[in-house]
Amino acid sequence: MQSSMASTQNPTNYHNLSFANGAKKVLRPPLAASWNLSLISGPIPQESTGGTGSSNQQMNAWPLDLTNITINKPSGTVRLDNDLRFKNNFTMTSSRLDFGSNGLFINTVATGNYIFANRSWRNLANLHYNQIPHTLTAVNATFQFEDRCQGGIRSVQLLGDSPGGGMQISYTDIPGSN
Amino acid sequence: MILKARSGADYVFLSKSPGLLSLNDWIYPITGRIVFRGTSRTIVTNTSWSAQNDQSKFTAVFDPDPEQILTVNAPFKSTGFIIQSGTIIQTNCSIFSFNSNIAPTGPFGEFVLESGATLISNALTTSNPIIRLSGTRPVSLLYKNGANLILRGQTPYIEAASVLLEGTIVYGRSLG
Repeated sequence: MQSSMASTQNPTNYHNLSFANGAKKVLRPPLAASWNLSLISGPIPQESTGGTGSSNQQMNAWPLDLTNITINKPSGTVRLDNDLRFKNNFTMTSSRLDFGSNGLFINTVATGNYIFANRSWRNLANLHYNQIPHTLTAVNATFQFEDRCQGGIRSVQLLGDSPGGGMQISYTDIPGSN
Repeated sequence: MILKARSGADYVFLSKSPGLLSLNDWIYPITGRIVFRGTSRTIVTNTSWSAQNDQSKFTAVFDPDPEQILTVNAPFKSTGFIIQSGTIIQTNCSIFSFNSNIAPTGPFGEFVLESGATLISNALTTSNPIIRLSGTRPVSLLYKNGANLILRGQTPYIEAASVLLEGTIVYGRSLG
């Protein structure tokens, strides 16, 4: 059972999208929200097969664990109040992500890619990058952390051959040092 | 049912036969509006209306007092719907049905949920969609920024050629 819409035009572009109450909710693939995405009450919405989530601005109240996501918000910030997990492809096209001291988990099922194009991460506690590519490039291994103390962006880029496997990056601000 | 028609300043009796269903222009013109105002109540009861007749061409406007709730409990046919204010509850017996007697082909009609207004829809399935135009021709749907659409049906359907969701959508079913 699901809450979904189907019609001549399947509505997939939402502005403000919320889920409430006890029924099981299944997300349609793909789904885009141009404003906030939130869970008011009830169970965590589930992805349908091959689901894609694409969301901008505010993602509230449930740990997102999506198969594929494209973050594409040319201006403004997406604020998260839970960990963000991607099973497969994570495309960072544009947008400032504010993790609110939560974690980011990329490629958790080890079959996807991280694709970086632009923008930065703020308040990210830990980056977990599972099964990193054997050849690291500017596209698959650029991580841009915002400096909360000094301003600006600390860009970490890994290049060259890698042994594969998992990788974890913690970014720590030490006030006063540079 | 008795049908009367305007004749000069007054109305005269026309018919009470089932054949009156084929008479043109029960309620018209298309630019005319029936506006529901006032306090909370059921404005369309289950036995009072239907979407069977396509001879009425007008726009239905729901404009209750602030925080008042109007309930629509039967299929409702019109050439356009505007939810201007307040809260409208669409029961699972109700469809906002667009009159197909206007545009023989292609999408027709607009369903507008204005900023600040709320539609709570209990529409359940494909045979009981939130909106549709008779037959297979879809209509367009516009939820403006600041409008609220609360979906309580299990699998809500909107048969629309173009859907613009600029307001808030809540999927809020309790069971199932």
